[in-house]
Amino acid sequence: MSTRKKIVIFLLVMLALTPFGLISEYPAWGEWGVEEFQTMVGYIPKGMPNAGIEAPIPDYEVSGMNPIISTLISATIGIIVSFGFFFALKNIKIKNK
Amino acid sequence: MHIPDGFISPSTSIVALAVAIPLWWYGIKQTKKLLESSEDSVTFLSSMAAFSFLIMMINVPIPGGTSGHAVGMAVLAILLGPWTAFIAISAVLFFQAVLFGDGGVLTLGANSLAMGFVGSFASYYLYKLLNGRASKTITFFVSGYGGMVAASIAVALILGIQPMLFVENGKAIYFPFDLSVTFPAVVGSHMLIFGVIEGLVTVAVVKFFEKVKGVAYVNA
Repeated sequence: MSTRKKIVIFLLVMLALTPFGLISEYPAWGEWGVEEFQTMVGYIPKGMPNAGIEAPIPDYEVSGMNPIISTLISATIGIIVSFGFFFALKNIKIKNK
Repeated sequence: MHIPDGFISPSTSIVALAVAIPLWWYGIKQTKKLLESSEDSVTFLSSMAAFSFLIMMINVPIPGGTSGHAVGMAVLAILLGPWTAFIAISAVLFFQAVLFGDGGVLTLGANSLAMGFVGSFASYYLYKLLNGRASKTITFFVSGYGGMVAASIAVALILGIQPMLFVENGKAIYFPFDLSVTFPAVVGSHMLIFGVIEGLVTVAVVKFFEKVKGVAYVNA
């Protein structure tokens, strides 16, 4: 099997597996929302609300779209930006020379 | 294991960024060397970064109402070297934060240090230690398992010191559970479950790719 073919098959398999991540209803330990902290410790830690930025596709869910399709879209975006980053990094070096 | 913004103090985030920035700089230089070593290396490197992105999306539920995921740190560290693994995972974490709100932007330094730096280097040195002394399966498994547990220790530390340092009128300002809670919860679950998953993923993926041309470290 050629290297390129191996990579394509591998990434397609990985992509197809991403919707299985939807099975888990719960977030990772600690990665709770402010309401859950309210329930657990009786208050919302002051520094938590409104921290950070608003992401264009929060939680890998394209709003109003089927979760499986939206996960596959997010995963595909993940593949594209990963390739984009390293192809850009490679080319930046060439320009610097 | 992705620390969101607001979970740790801005000062903690800034210290982590201050540590991470010189490491990123050195890591990017190392990565560029790898990129220039062969025409094909950029494709393989990108696909390994994509693999890390995708495997982090696959949340595995565990008893107790939480979940977790593999990172691919040992796969990247063994196949590409720890510096490139650190850069690839940091880049993935950046995109996950800015595009999907997974993890944080200000916390990028802390998350990159834990999952990227600590994880990749622990994996790499375990691999170096065992390579040739134990079977490949054991070597790859322990590399993944150990890297994951090491990364979880870093996360448990960063989160657990928050309520010890930042309290106002008896209330935590950021993450409210201290080390006595974060260690058993975060490190415990990674020792029992997610470390094992990372180990198994490492064995499967490294064995699939170990003969690929342009791979920097495996078989070295």
